[in-house]
Amino acid sequence: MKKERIQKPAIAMKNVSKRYFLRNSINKKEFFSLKDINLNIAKGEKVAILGDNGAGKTTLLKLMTGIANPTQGSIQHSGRIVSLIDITAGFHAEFSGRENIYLNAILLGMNIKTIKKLEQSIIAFSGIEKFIDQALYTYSSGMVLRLGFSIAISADPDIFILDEGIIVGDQDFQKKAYDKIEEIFDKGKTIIVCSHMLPLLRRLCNRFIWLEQGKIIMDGGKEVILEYKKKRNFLQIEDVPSNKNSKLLFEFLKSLPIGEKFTARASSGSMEPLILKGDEVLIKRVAFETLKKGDIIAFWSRDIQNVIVHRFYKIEKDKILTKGDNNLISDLGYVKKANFLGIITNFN
Amino acid sequence: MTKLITWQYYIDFVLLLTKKEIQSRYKRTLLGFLWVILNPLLQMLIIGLVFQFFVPMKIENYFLFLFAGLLPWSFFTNSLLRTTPILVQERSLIQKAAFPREILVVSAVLANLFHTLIASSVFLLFLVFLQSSLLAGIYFLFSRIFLFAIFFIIFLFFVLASCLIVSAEYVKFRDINFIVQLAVQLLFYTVPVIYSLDMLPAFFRQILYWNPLVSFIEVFRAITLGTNFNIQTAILVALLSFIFLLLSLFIFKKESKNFDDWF
Repeated sequence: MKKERIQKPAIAMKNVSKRYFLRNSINKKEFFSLKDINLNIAKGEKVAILGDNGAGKTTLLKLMTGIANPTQGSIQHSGRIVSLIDITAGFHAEFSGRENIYLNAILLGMNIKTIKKLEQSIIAFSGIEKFIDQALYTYSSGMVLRLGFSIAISADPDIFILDEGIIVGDQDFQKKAYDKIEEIFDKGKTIIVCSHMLPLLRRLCNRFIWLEQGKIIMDGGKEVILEYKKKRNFLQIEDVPSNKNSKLLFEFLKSLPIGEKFTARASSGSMEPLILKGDEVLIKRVAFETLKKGDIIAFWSRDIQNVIVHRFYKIEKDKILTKGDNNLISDLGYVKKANFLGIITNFN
Repeated sequence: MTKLITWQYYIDFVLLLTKKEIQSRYKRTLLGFLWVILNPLLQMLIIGLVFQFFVPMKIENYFLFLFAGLLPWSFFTNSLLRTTPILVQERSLIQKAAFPREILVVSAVLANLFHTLIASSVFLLFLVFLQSSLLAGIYFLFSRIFLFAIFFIIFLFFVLASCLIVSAEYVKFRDINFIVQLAVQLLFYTVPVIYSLDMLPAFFRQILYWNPLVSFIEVFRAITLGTNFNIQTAILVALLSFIFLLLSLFIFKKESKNFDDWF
């Protein structure tokens, strides 16, 4: 990724720092959200920003878009930027959906002529034609988000900045939204995206920047994701396909000899997903005596009638204790040894 | 901020927000747009009744005199009171999208100008009917429309400049809202809305002329009612308004870079 570039970069950040003050009634404390960031993003690059909460991701995006200005250093960009940090910004509850299209789209940098041209396709994509002339306060929150998303993706900037929570709405709409996002990624525009959806990022981006405490820890290709995941020691609570005969399926899988491998497709995602819905999981049959703390194990859940994935913690009597990495009580789980299936090998 | 903002986009943005501001004020009201003219009219009636019957002012056609003073006064104060906290109120926008922040202030002021222009036009038409003949009425109308335009352009500069500075500083100093609210009440008695400057001793008059609003009110009254005004001060105020606007834009641009840090 670090090739010489003749073209002017889409975004060039030089020694950028951003200082905030943490104020309370008595005093204020200095706090650097970003420290000495040097970053060149070439035209057409698809960049993912990784990092925990508070690592400085949002600040970085804010500086790139010009919402905030750096305390030190300089930022230059060439081309029109649209940031989709909040797709419902500018919405006004008293106004109709149609009027809100105008209010929101103009914030994204479109002029009236352009909006008029796109109005019909925005309405069609949102799928709320029937309610478009009703006041926004009559909409459900899902409808508002759908409208917001439809407006956002019709903006046609040179540089797209996406924050997490962009894919919204019910399942049908999610599919549509996801396809649309893939389409935008295919268009050859510069995209900077910040999300916890690692599998999505891995599929769509070609450059990964890992931020921690306001500094760039790693910058490169897909290897960054692996390092990041190692460090984070991700937990996963995922399941594999459900069907009426899943109990039979489990019996069959259980009968497979130790060392055998099989793949499954995840049928749902979780809040901190390592495996996105639809991702393939490689499960290896192992003897549970060989389990190590931190292994991701697959087991049968009678409650859900499906295979669940969680992180192995320790063995207690005849039970396996699973535990995530955020120390919440609710994150603990007990699994009967008899229900144990194997470990996940492609997501560690 | 994006460097590719075109004039067309800028104008579209301002006009759209102005329209929103105007519409949102009358959404779901019974009388709707009628409030544009009803509001200043009722204000005139209330103050007029007090100073006509309880504490009589020795001014001819007091209600007309009062209305001519209230129009520019309301434009200034309504704009100032509306825009002082506007950047903080719209912080969700400012934190989420990069657009020229002054547009928020400009469109709020323009919405107020729109109201003032409608009320002023009604006032002007009323004055036309008071003329002695039809011909005199038509002459009055056309000669005044031109003066109106010049007056409101310069006055807009002044109001905009005041609003830009006050709203930008409010982001850092939240006491400003209280100060503005009190200052508006106090200022009301230092400008010749309910009284005429002729009623004051020369010494006081000189002091009050330091306030540019006094000149604006006097000139507006001179245009509509033909009263006299201090022409040197008026010209000086007009020139200063222009400089004031440039200065305020400069200050606003400088401050707007750091708005996000103060929310």
